[in-house]
Amino acid sequence: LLVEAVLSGVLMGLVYALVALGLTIIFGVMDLVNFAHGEFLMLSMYCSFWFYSLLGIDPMLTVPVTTVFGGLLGVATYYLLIKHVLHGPLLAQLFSTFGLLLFLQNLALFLWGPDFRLVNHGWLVDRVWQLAGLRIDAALLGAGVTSLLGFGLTYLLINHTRVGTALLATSIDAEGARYMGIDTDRMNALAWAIGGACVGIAGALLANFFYITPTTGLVFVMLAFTTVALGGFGSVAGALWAGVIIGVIQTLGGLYIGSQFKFPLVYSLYFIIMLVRPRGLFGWR
Amino acid sequence: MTGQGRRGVTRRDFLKASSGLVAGGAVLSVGAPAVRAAGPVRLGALLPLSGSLASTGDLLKRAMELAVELVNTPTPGVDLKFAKWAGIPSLGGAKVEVIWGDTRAQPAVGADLATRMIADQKVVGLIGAFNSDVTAAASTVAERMKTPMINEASSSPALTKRGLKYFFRVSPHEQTFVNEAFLFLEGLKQGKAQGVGAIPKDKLERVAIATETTEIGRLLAELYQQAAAKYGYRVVATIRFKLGSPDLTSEMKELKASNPDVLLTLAGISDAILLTKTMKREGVAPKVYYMDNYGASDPNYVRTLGRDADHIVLRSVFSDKLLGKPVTQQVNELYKKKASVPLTDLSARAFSAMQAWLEVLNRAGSTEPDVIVKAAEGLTIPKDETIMPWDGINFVTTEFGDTHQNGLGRGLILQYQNGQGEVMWPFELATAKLVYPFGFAG
Repeated sequence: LLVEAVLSGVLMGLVYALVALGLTIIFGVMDLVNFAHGEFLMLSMYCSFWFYSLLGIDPMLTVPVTTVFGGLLGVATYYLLIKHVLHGPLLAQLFSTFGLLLFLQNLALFLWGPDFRLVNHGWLVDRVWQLAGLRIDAALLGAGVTSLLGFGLTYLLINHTRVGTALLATSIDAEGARYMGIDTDRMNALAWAIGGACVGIAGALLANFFYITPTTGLVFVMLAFTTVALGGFGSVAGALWAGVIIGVIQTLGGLYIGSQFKFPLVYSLYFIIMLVRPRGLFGWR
Repeated sequence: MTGQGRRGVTRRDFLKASSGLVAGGAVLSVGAPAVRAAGPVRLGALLPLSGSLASTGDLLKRAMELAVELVNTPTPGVDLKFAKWAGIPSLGGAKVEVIWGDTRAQPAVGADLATRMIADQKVVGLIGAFNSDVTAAASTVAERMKTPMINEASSSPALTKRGLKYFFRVSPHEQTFVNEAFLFLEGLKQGKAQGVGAIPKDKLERVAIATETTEIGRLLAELYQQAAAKYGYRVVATIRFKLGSPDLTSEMKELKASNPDVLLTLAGISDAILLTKTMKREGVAPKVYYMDNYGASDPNYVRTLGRDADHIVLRSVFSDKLLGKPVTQQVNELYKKKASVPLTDLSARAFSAMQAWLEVLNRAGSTEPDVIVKAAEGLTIPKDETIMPWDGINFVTTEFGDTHQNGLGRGLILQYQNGQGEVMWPFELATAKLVYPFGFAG
């Protein structure tokens, strides 16, 4: 039971981490909190669902589609909204993404109503595998492994490509990067594209086992904020570890201390880390 | 104009005219005290219209709207008195207007809306507010501002145990429902359920309780525990989960380890879906999977889960399988046209609460709060004029210490079979054989 619980905690944590990754990249590059991140997730889940429902495509196969969808959503958000408030007061920046949250949520409500949708058939849906005496949920395993893959690709992109180096430079010192000839405007758009793409992947993965409704994003976004803060704002490795830690704590805490304490435990840990190490576990500023 | 043709108003004329007015006014006031029929009568409806309960709130809203449409526009073919009125007759045919307020399922929002509706929008009364904690907050405001409120489906027993003067409830509450759930389990042991032999006591004694961490969730867990002790069941696990949980894996692992015969739950629509899916994934298999109706009776529950909803047992107060009464069939047909789904216990109770309001307004013939309260206290809607499988609506003081509680209501226990809620209890009203033990059909 303990091993099963840890495993499912790690797998779920990887999904939380992937949702948080997009948030942390955008923050790292632009110092801007995207309150509409949960709504990006919700729209990606709908995107995966409609491909499944209308074209009969398995949610796992929609991962590339939702990745592109999420990326485009991010870029569109940057050019149509964020760019215009970037040099405005901080409050305008904060409220712009909050307004976007309300707009996207109500847009989904308008388009698809408050109904709940669920993928009821699929390669991994409701499948359980027995491995070495362990009961493993196929959809969760698929989600965890794909999340890890998403992390790996993002890590490679940021740390081993020229464009990634330019992105890092923009995140460390945007003005300095601009003097060095880096088009920081494009880097900002890229951060939003990567952020949107990450949450796009997470959307397709969650569609395998989680219900879809206009408020689905809210269920995950609070945990995503906690993950980002715990791992350190702007830290890719921090998001990964914090996601896994949160996943394991909530599963083990729920199982051995009491289900009503699983989230208080997570938030208590967050509180302690903030007191002891305000920059988060892996934050560098 | 000449001086001859124009004469000043003499003292005698004034006295004549004013005495006539006073006398006329006195006659009018005997017939209908404080009639205010010039404009529409405004009611404030408090419902969760956004957030995780938006779909449920929307269904309740449509049911209330239907009742208002029936009273404002005479509708032939509906055997309800108020469907022939064209407004409230005793208020000079005043139309009824509803101001909708979205509580977002939050008590503070509900209380704020109640204040604004009463103070600014001059509603004569409130209806709602679905969630027990929101209803508690809004009714406290209503009491302070001396405004009558009729509640449709909040099931916390505490609501009618506060001795409030202006608060009324049409639905039976959780104390009644929980007791009925255990009467159902006892009946299973006695072999009273159709299609199932008597179940030995030791095969149906381990009870697990899983409820959300809200006020109603806490209360229900307590009531389940008390009833389990009263009827001699052993509680092997008590699980509390967050409203709007992202993951229920650890909860279901704990549940599986406790190996219960009966699982008693309370969850909103989103958690009810996640709970059922996670149970299936984790292989949790109680013999009876009982859900409070809160999430499970939302048509979205069955529509979303498909066959995975089958064989779940849920408490209800309404079933479209018991459409014996013509009036229920008629209203159900109108509702289906409006909402694209049949009436459920929640929407049927919302309709009934609005019906109670309309009848109370007509009985009162006034918009004065105290006259309305008096009219509500004397209200009797007979069995044949309610769409519910109840003996009627009559606000009384009950033996459990409730005040202004409908004393003629009771619950039903259903089981989903092929996506339909079949009546299982009262056993004499059963519309199908019970599928026992529980197992996922999908």
